[in-house]
Amino acid sequence: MAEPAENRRATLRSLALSLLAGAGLWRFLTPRRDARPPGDLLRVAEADVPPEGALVLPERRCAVVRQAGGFHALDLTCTHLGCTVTATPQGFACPCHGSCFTSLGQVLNGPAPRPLKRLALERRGGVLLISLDREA
Amino acid sequence: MVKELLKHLFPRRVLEANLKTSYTFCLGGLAFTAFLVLLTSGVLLLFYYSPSPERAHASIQFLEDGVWGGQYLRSLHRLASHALLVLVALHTLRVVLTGAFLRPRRFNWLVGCALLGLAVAGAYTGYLLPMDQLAYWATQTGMELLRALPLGDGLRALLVPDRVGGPLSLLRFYALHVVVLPLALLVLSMLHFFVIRRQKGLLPYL
Repeated sequence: MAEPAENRRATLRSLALSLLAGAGLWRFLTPRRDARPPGDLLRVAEADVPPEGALVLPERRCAVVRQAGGFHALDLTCTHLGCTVTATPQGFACPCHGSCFTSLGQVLNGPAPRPLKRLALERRGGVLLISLDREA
Repeated sequence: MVKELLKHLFPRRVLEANLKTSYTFCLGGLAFTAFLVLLTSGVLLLFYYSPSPERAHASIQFLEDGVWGGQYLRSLHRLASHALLVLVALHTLRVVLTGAFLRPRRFNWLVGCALLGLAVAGAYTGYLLPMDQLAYWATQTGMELLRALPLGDGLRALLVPDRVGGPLSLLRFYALHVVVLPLALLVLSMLHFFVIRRQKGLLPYL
């Protein structure tokens, strides 16, 4: 049997070592975010958005909706579990669990707890500038 | 030591009562058999699978269309993984119903619980690898579900450093699926069997 003090020292040492190893492993496994640079702007010509309709850009997970002469941009990530919603005649629907949204992004039904995120949009001349990482 | 271990791998005496399969139905042994099938078919799949988002799906398509026995092998791997999960669940149920989780087998019950978790993790990480629609969306939702857990955001950051289906996260799921999880399963299974053997139970293939 080791002396209690020695035992404690060994325990503390192995505890400290595993904490250190854990922290190192954590740092190793979480690299710098290579996310798109902040302020990434999506440029869309106003003429490309059909009147009383929407231009859907599934690759960028974004839709530009034109309604009553006004424009708004929606983030197409479903607020339930993150699938990309698809455009329907009524608005948007999620293929994963069936949430439905109006064309303004409000929840019609389904498990989604919140409306779709609205993205910041700026009209400049005939071009719409949409910030993909900034909410309206 | 290895020699000693091999010498004692097979018990000298077996209790007749332990030989009745109607007690355990050999569910654990069957689950281990499914695991061995998974290892063998998985190693063969490694020769064709390519763990990058651009090529993963194409490599599986090639395996199915251009490789003799490829379809069979992939189906075998998938069915064996279903079988493993079902058998592990039934084995757990049997252990619960016969009270085999009580002392003195409590340690082995805990090892078994870890094995159950590893089996589920192995199946889940394998789910993303084909990179088809089902794989992608199932992983997308699963990773979102993870965030509901305490420390879930950290766990998600470990599994998905870029984005679901991105090159880093696919590589991570791949590494877990083909090296880390099978190795952990194998080591813990050996521990599981060692404890069973010491407690005079029956081992698979004995």
